Amino acid sequence: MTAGAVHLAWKDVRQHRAWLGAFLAIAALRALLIGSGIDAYITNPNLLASLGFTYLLLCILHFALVVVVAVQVVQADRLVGTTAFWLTRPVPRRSLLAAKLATVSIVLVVVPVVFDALVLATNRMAWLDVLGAVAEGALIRLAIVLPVMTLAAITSDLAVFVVAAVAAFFGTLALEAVFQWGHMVVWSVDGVPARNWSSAYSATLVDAAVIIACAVIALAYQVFTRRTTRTVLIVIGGVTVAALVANRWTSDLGLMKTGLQAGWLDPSRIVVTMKPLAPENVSTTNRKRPWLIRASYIVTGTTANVALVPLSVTTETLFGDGSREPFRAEVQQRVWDMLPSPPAFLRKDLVEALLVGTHLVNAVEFRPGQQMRPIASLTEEGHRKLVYLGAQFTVEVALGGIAYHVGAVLPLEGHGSGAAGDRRVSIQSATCEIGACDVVLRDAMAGFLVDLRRPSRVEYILVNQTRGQAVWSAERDYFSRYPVFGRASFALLGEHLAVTRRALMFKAPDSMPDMIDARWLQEASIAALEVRDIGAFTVEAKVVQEGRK
Amino acid sequence: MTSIIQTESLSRRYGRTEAVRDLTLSVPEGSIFAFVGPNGAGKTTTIKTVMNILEPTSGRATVLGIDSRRLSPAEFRQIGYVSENQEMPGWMTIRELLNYCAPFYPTWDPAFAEDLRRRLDLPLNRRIRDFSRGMRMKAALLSSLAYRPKLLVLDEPFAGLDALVRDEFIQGILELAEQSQWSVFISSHDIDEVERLADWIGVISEGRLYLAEPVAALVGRFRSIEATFEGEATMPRPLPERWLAPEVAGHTLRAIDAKAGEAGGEDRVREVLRGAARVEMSPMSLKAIFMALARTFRSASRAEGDR
Repeated sequence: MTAGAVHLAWKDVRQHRAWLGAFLAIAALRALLIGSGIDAYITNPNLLASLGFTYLLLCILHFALVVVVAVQVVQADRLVGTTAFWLTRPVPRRSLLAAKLATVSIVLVVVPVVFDALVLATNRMAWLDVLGAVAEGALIRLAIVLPVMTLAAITSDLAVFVVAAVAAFFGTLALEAVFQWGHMVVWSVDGVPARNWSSAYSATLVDAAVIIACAVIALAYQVFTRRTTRTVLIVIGGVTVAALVANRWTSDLGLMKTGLQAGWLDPSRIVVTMKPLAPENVSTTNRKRPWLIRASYIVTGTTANVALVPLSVTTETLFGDGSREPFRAEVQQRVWDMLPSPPAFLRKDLVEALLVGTHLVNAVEFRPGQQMRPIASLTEEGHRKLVYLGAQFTVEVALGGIAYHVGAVLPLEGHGSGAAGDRRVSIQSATCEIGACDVVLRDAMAGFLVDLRRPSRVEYILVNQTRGQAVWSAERDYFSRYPVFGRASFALLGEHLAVTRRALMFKAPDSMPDMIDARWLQEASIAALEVRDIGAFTVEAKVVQEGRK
Repeated sequence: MTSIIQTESLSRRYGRTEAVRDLTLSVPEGSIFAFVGPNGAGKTTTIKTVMNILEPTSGRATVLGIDSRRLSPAEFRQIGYVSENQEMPGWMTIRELLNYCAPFYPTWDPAFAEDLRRRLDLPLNRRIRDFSRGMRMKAALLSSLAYRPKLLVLDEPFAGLDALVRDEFIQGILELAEQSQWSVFISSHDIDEVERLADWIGVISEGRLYLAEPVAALVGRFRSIEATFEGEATMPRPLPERWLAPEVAGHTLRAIDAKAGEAGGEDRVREVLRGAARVEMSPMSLKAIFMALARTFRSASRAEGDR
C-alpha cells in the first residue's frame, strides 16, 4: 500500500472512529462471551435466557455494524454523483481503492477473525483447526463485506443503499427463479437437497471466490471509471455467475482422516470380509432344506460405538453352466429407524446393547428358482445366511455408518452435570407426573470443539437402572453449516449459547401410563448420545463354496 | 497565446437535454476568465466536463494541455477547484482539512496556508459542518490556494454569499492574483460578482457560447445608441447585424451596437442613422452589455426552438 493509500485509509478511520469503535467493541464482546464459557456456570434459567438474548442481540448488532461501517467507509468518498471532494483533488484512484479495501478488510475481517482465533486458541483448539477456521472466517466475511462495499459504491448514501440492497435481494431471487425454470442451477449436493452454502465445502469456497472476485472487479471498475450503469451490469453478471457455479464442484477440502475425533469410526478402516463356513459346520444346515448353507462373515475394524447399516447388497451368482445372475437389493435402512420411534420405552437390554456396542447384521436368503431377497434383522451374532446351488458368489455390500458418542449418565437428582458427547450438559430441573416427565437440560457445549463435518444429532435416554427401563427422546438434529476447511468454523462459535437450553419431555407409552412417576424419576438418570452419520462406503467380499444338493 | 483551458466542439447531454452544445472555448493562460450566463446556461456542466467530473458526450476539452478525460493527480496538483456544489468534509476542522490536503500537494506551503487562513478569518478548530455557507466556501478556497495552483477554477463561488464575505473573497483572489501568475476560470450568473475580477469574459446561454474575449475589448466595442428623430423614429432596414435590442419609442430609437467602439464604428452607426437629428453613443458597463447579450441570446434560442 502506498503512502497515499495509508493517508486516505487513516482519514477514513478517523472519520468513522465512532462506528469502528462500536463495531470492535461488539466484536470483542461477542468473542469474549463465546470464549468465556460463562454460561456453563449459570444455573439460573432466567439469567441464561438473558444471556442468550444478549448474544443474539450482539450477533444482530455485529452484522448491522458490518454493513453500516462498510457503507460509511465507501461512501465517505462518494463514487457516484459529481460533488465528491476527492474528484478534483490529486487522489490516485488506485490509492482510493486500496485505502477502502484495506480499511474495511482490516476492521471488518482481520480484527474479528483474530478475535475469533484467540477464542479458539484459548479453548485449546489445534492450530491447524484454528488456521482452517481463520481461512474460512476471512473468506466468508469477505464474501459478505465486498458485495456490501460494491453496493455502497454505486449508491449515494445509506438510505439509497438500503433501497438498493432490498432491490438486489429481490432481483437475485428473480434471477434464481429464472434459472430454476431453466434447470440451470444445481440443487442437490452430496445428497443434501438444499441449495445453499452449507451443502458442500467446496461449493462454499467456489461461490465465495466468485462473489469476492466479482465484487472486487465491480468495485475497482466503479472507482476507476465511475460508470455506474456498467458497474451494475458487472454486479448482475457476478450474481449470475455465482448462481450458476454454485454446487457444481463438490469435494471435501478438509482432511477427513483428521476430521474424526478419537473414538469415532473411520470408514477407511472398516473391512468386511465374508468367508464360508467350515465343512464341519455343515451340520448346522437346515435338514429340511439341505441346500441352505449358512455362511458367516466377520466385520472387523469397527469401534464399539458404531452401527453399520447395509444400504444395498449386490450379488453376482456364477452357476455351474457358466450363466451369471446379478442381483441388487436396496436396503436403505438406518439403525435408528429400526428402533421404536421416540419417545418410547426401550428394553434395558436394548439400551445396554446400544450403549455397549451394536453390530447390525443383514441376512440375505436365497432359494432355488427365487430371487435373493434381503431380510432385515437385528442380531448380535453377525451371521449372514446365504443359499446357493453349486455356484460362486461375489457379494458387494454398501454400508452406511452411524456412530455415536455416549455421554456420562447423569443422575437427575442434585442437578448433576457432566460431559455428554462433546457437550457440557447439566440438568436444570426435572419434574414428573404419571405418564410423563419434563427435563430441562443446559447444553453448554462449546460448539466449535465438535467436528460437525457430518450432520449429528443428540439423542437423550432417560434410564431407570433399577427397573431396567428407559425412555428415548430424540433431540433435534444438530445441523450446522459445515466448516469449509478442517473441522472448525467461527459459525459454530456461538452454538453453545444459541442452544443453551433444551427442554425435553419423556412420555410413557399409552399402554403403560403409570410407568413413569415421581419414584421412577428419583432413580432415573439421563444419558446423551451424539449420533453422527459417518457416510456410506462399500466393501467387497467373495464367497466360493461348493454347492450341495 | 497559450490556452490553459481549451474546448473543441464540446457537448454534453443529459438524456434528451443538451446542456452544453458544440462549445469551443479558449481560456488564455494568466487570465482571469469570467464564464457568465444565466442559471441553467450550462456553466457548471462545462466546468465539470473540463474537470473530468463528467464525460463529454462529444468533442473534447484540454486542461493544462491534457485531455480532460486523462487528467491525473499530476494535473490536479496544479488545479484548484472551488464550487458551490462541492462537498466538503464537514467532520473535519480547518486544521484537519489542511493536514488532510497537504500531503497531496508537493507545493503545499504551510506558511502561506496559515496566512490565507488568517486573511480569510477562518477559525482553526471549528468543524466545517458548523460553518456558514460563506465560511465553507472560504474553507474550500483556502484548501485550493495553499499549494499555489496554476489554474483556479471557481464555479459559482459567490452564490449565496453576503456582500461582505463576497468582497473578502474577491479581495483575496485579487491579491493572490497579483502575487502569483495564475489563471482563474470563474463562473457566475451575476456579472456584478465577477466584474471587478475578470479580464476575459465568456458568455454562455442555453448551452452555447456566444462570445469569449477580453473584457477591455468587449467594453471598448459596445456602445449604447440613442437617436432622436424630428418625426416618428423608424427602425432602419435592413437592421445591422451588430445591433442588439433595438427599440423605437416615439421620436427616439435605442439600440446597442456591438462594434461601434471599433475604428470607424461610430461613423457606421451615424451612416445608418443619417436621418436622425441627434445621435448619442455612450460606452456601456460590462453588466449592461451582459444583460443585453443575455436577452438577445435567449430570444434567439427561443426563436430557434419555436422553429
